[in-house]
Amino acid sequence: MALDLAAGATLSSASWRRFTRNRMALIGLIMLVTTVLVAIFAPLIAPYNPYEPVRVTIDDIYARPSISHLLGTDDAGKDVFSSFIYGSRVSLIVGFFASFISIAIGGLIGIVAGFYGGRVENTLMRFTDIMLVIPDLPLAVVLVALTKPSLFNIIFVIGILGWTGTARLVRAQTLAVKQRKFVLRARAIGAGNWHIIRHHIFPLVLPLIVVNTVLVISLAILNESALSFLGLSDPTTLSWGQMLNFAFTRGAMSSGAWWALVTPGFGIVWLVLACTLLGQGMERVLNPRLELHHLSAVTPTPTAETL
Amino acid sequence: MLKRILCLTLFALLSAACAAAPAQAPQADTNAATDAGPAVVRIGWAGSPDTLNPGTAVLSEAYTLFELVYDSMYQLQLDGSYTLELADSVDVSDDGLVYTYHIRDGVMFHDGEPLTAQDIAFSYNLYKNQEGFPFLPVYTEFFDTIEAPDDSTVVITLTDAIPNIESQLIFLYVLPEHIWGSLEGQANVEFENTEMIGSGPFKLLEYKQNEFARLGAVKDHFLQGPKVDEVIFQTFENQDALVQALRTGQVDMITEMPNTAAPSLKNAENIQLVSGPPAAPSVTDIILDQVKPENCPPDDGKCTGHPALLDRNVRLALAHATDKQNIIDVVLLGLGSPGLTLIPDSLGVFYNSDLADYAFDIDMANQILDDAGYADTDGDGVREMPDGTNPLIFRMNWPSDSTNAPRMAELLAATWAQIGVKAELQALDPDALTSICCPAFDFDVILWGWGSDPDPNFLLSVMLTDEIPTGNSETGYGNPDYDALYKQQAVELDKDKRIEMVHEMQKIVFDDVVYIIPFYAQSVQAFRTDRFTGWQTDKGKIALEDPSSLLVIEPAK
Repeated sequence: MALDLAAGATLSSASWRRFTRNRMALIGLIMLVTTVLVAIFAPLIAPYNPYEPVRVTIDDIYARPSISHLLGTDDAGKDVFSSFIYGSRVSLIVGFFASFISIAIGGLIGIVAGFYGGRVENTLMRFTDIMLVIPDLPLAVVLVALTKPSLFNIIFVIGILGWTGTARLVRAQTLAVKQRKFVLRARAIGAGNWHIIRHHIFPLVLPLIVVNTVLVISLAILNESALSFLGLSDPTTLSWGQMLNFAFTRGAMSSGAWWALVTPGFGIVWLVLACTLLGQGMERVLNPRLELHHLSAVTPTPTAETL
Repeated sequence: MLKRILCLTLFALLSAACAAAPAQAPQADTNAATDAGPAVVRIGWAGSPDTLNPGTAVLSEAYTLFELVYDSMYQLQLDGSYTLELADSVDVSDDGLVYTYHIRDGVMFHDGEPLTAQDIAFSYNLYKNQEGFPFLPVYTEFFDTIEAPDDSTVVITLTDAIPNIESQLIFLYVLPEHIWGSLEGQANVEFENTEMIGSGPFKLLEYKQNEFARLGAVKDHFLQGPKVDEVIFQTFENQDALVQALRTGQVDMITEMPNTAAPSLKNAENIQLVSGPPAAPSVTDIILDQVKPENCPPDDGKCTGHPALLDRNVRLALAHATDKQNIIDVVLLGLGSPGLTLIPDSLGVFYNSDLADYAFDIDMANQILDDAGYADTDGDGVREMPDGTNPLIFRMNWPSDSTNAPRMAELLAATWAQIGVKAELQALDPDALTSICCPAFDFDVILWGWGSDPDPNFLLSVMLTDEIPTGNSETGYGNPDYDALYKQQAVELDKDKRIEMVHEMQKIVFDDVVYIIPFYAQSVQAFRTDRFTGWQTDKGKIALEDPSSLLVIEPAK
């Protein structure tokens, strides 16, 4: 980091204070942490193991919520609450890993395009534009159909389709940072491109990338749910989209089994909302345009504090 | 013969997750039962005919309409017997080669023109000679000539004596020559037939594809006129919407529904749920790719199937590791029976019930694989081929619009894993599935299904060596003994002898474990008891949309 240790510490503690004052972001963080804890301790929380085979009769399916099944049972007589708890794992894994892939690709393309400019930028950004206009979901459907249906491939497909927004944001930020005086000074004293990117551009783009990661997670979760809902994932991998798929195609509505539909739907909304709240809150806290840099002549505007 | 995926749930998934609004229905008097207005039966289904052209139609919804609007030479009754429809008698020559049909007098098309022997001969010749009709030439395969010497006589001369001319003729609907006769060649294939002039007990009044079909009764039909005045088939977005429409009284009968809705409809007021063998038998099959390298189709074949599936021991072990009863319980909620071969139990005498099914027995399945040399040499829980290579990992695919297959795949993967076989599960778009299936043989295991004719001939032909390059054979099975028996039964006139051969063929393919047949599904339908009475629910087969019901129902008092 270009910041020396002391300055970094004060900055981050200031950020943390601003962060805790931002109630939305805090709520988002608590929601996300809760979900992560639930996913980690799923075997302890869930009353049944949803991967265990069950024997059903016509009377066991879509059983109403009761003491033994808090949220009823699904079309195969499985406990909805347990599936719901275990389903969070897939959503989180896909969300995190896919967004890391997206961010890595988007960040790299954005920084390179913004920093080098000219033909490099033109080529990269036109490519980004092309990827941007291709609708994500249909392309994801095709790609998933072409690959083997594993969780890894779902993550991979969602990851390589979700980077365009990040690339554009990072490029814009890189363009802005590149014009700052300390970059020009660094260049004047003979710093190379790699040094400037590593020590001057990247630290100032990083907060934006972090914020974007959280927002891209929610997109990835939604995409995973959509693919599962369309029946494109491995049916033995339990996820919320998969639960919705089974409920929708196997007559939950006809049976009035709202619990089989509402529960996974709630899970998706909860997690996406958590990421969105956290991401937006962090954006306000970490927005690098409002940040003080030890070489920068720009002073923070007071409006940032009133948010 | 219609390759129709297990359950027709349209890809309307993206529409909101609430009861989808039904397609716009024509205005109809809804109080037929209480006032003197016309009696209108409203039937809900989750599909729509693909076309009204009997030569090119594929979906069963189209055939439902054809049964009502057209007549054919024979009528298939729910008990499986055939009765003459357009003819009042038939003479068969001693050698079984010449059938002389005496056509009834006074049969009229809906536009007022008389139906004569010329129309019948014209229609049969059209079906025989029009190469653009994908399925129908199968039925006229043994027809040499079809002639109409006068207005009331049709003479069919066969190339070989065949035992099943009735089942060959029931899907050959009689078309009016004065309309179809002016069409040439490809125009027959492209004809949309939106007027649909036939001679059946109902005539088409109004039709909008994917919305509704409104049929009016032909009260003076030569056999039996309907008691109701109109029948409306209304298309709904999905099966859940169908169930809701029946509950609220928006429709009087639904032709299909998710089995999972059965428990809740059982106790509903004024609704009766019926289930039983379907009139058009359906078979769900687990297709095992076993095409031998020498049988691989030279042009289209990729033949990437797992070599282990060529070994009967492996297929036998998979059969023993398939818990059919549990699959029926979970997937169909018990509304089905365990399957043996492609010939379903609802084909009656043709079904070989003497075969003893492979018991669900994991230990025995493991023993079979152990004895055959498939050992798990690297200790990862998956067995390898006897030479230590190529672990038993099978790709398992199914059509993405199937509502039953994902649960079935899940159950199969779980029990197969217990014998050291790993399945890689993936749903595929039906077109993509067709392209990997046959004749490409670019798969290991597919979960799919067949609809069957009332005669076993077609489904028996699916396992012929000759059908491997045509794409009809899904397994790539080849057995000269079986092929020879098929040829014999096709021209065996003695019914008992033919049944014996058909049973023998089932035994051969059952012993060779060509397919694993998890179940024969029952037809599940429901109707409102407060609207119409007389639905045929106790005639052995369940098909409430069949003329057998629609001709006799009357408004409830």
